[in-house]
Amino acid sequence: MAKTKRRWTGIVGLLIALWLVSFVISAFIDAEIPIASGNVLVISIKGVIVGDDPGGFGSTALSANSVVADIESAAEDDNIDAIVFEINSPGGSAVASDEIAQAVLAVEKPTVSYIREVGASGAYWVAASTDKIFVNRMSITGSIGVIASYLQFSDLLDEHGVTYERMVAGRYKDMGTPFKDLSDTERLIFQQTLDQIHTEFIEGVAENRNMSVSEVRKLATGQVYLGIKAIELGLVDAIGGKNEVEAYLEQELNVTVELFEWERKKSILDLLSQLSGGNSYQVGRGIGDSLVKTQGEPNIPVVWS
Amino acid sequence: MHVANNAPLLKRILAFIVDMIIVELFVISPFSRVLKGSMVEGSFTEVLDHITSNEVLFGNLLPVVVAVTFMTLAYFAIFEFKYQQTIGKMIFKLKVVSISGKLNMSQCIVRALIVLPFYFVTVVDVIYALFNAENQRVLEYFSKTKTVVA
Repeated sequence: MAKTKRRWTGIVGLLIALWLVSFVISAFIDAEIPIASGNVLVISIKGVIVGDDPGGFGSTALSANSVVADIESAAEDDNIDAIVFEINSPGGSAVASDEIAQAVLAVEKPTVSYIREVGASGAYWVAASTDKIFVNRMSITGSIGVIASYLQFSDLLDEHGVTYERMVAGRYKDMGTPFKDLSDTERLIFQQTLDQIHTEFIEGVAENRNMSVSEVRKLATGQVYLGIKAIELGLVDAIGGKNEVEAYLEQELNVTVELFEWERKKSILDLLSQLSGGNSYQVGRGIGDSLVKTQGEPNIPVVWS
Repeated sequence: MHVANNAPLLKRILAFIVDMIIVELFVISPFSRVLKGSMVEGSFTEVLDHITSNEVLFGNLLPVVVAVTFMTLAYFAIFEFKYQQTIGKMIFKLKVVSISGKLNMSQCIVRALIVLPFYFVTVVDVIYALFNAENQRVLEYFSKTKTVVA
């Protein structure tokens, strides 16, 4: 009797153990399974565009990696007829914005963007890569320019008797360090770099919008334009929101358009790594990250803005 | 020396069906969280079409398939090693015996390879059992085991 009871306890225990192990494994599997319920995928471009999302609570950054992955997946998916970009972003990293723009240009299906409150700078660069841009009359767009800045606190160090011992191999290796003034030549080098990026931006917009480079250059003062003005200037195509986008695509594709978004669930591992890694990064980046970056490379973020 | 009778094929099939229900409840159900919402409702062919027509979905299902296969294999191997029976076999009073001495874990693992998602292995394994005097599957032959009446 006791033997039978022990046997059944063992069996039940084993089954529970199997269930638990399966549950734990399933929690660690990256559950990024797109839920396709329509034929036109909507990809959100919201927040500051960065290469990799540092994660953590309250992060509003948009990772170019994940957007590019979505674009590439949608491009390969036969069930998806077109891609719509819902944009509400002030821009961000030049490289990250260009990565998204290049991915959009590589898509052989119709691509449409509609700008809500803001689609400026790098976000406008992404929008300009799509076939058609819709805006609200009051949307803020444009801002075709490049900004780079950093805090320079050499005077503060002087006040506290801290000196910067400069050791470089390569005259400009430490240009942009916050521990010393920028020389005229260094400033010129930075300005030339920004001008070069600015030209890339202008030429990209000109090509994608079928405008002349000189025409875009006139508008590329970094100024923002309201949607209604942007139409006049040729920077966007039409006033409209989701409904207008749907109507446009139905006309283009000659099918009933059903917009949908991919839900991306996160596995427990993702959540844990984001909580620990992301928050540690956020806490430390004020001090450590800037020091490390400054010593290794110029600490100047270049953004379309 | 007591010679056990070979397990009747019908009982073995019924035992396997019971085992698959157990696997569904205790091994596959935790993965439903991952699959939820990504599947269409419909016949087997419709579900298969849905998966194969969507490259992204197909690629993402791979880790799920690997994990479910591994856990199903674990169910059969652990139960047969510990009790010489799975739950299905307990219900239908069947057990696994080793032809070469005491049943060991590697024998149980080889037997359980039938759950691998390769139809060819499964079909050959079962067909061999149908035309074999002792109703021994190919994997039973390789693992030097057979299923007998308990």
